[in-house]
Amino acid sequence: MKKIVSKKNIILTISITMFFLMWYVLYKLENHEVIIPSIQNTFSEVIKIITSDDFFNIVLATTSRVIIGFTISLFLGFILGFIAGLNKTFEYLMKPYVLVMRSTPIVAIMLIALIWFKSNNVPILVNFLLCFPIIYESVMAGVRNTDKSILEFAKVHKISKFTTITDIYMPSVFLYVISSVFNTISLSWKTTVSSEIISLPKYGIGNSIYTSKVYLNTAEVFAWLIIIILISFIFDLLINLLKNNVLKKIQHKEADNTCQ
Amino acid sequence: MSIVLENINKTYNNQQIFKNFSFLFEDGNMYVLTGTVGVGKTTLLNIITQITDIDSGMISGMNDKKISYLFQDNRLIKSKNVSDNIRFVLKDSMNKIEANKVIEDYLKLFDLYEYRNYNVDKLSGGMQKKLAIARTLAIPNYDILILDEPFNNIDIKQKNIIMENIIKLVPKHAIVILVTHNVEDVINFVSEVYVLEKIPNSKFYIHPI
Repeated sequence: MKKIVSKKNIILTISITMFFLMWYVLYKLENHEVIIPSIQNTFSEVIKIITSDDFFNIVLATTSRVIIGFTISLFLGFILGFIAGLNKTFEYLMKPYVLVMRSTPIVAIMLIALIWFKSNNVPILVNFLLCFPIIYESVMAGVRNTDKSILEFAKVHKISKFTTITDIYMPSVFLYVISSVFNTISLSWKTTVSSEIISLPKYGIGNSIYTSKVYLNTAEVFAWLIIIILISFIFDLLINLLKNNVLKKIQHKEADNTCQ
Repeated sequence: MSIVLENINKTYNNQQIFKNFSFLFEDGNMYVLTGTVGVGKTTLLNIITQITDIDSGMISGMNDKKISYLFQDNRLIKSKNVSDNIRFVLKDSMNKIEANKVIEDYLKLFDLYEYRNYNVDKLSGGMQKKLAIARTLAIPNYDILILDEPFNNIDIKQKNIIMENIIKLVPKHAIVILVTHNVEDVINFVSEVYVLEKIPNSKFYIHPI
């Protein structure tokens, strides 16, 4: 096991070294900081950004947009997806809207949203439009895939609606949507930064990247990209931890409910 | 009040299974139904419980009755453990402490108490059947107990114990309808069996044993 891990690490190290080597070669060939900044300059920019006064505010602004947009999508996706799963009429009522959300290019929506909303809120809206249909549809599929024979058992025995939802539908929906929900958080993160580049709210990682580009400070653009990769990596780690915890909790709950 | 089936007609896949079928199930009695595979035993149970619609005829006496139904395929909830499968049918009628007591009693009665935290998937076929029977009997205040092949996967020694438990636990007023393909299972417990002989069925043939 240890051997496999170290082999994996060697390959990863080679891959990363190759990347920096290519970067260095391109930098030397181009020999122009605006087109390809040096590795050294880029990393000193990274440190400059991280230690700047506004860094915390910028990251917080973007992160809160991710969390707000995602939470609204999760909340509405869960409720509406659940109703649509139970009721075909409601599904058809929702269908055109979900289809529009799914197929309209995000950039087009962003431009319209910029006319209608404050630039601070546009990334949240865009985030919602991207995440909501994914969560909505997987919740709906989870409801539809609930074991029919158990539902019939509940009906014959006049089990209450509440217990039917909490004990039969919910476990089925949870297991069905858990991975799609967690994948959506990563997507939500990327979308928020992209839409910040266009909507330019006061604080935001996207905004900072745009400003660096305007001043032709390519080293700073690169530095921000590295920071995004790092934050994304930490975010993914946290999400995976949470995901494993939630999954464990569901299984734990099944195995741990003693009748004492 | 008894259950009355009057002139029931039911066609399934172009085959008439029941033709003007009538029968009276009286309170406090046990009815053992038997017949060959495909003769309509389970269909009749589903007609009584109104899972299956009838083409014509009348079913009366079912309106206020509370049913407890052991399905042939058990219908245990795979995502729940042994205890929680019983808790599921108790939740609506009692609090957690009362439910825990009922769960403990029934699991002990069916020798499943030590497996109370097991996931249902981990149990053998016979244990799953016993759990399903325990759950069926634990359902509070039922008026009709329906048991569709309760002895599948159960060895001979345990069949009698289970049958004794069923008789001991059923409320006095309840109607018990037990379907089995093997009459020997109940030979010590009833004096006659009700046979569905051939499709389309219009009545039971009563055989003394």
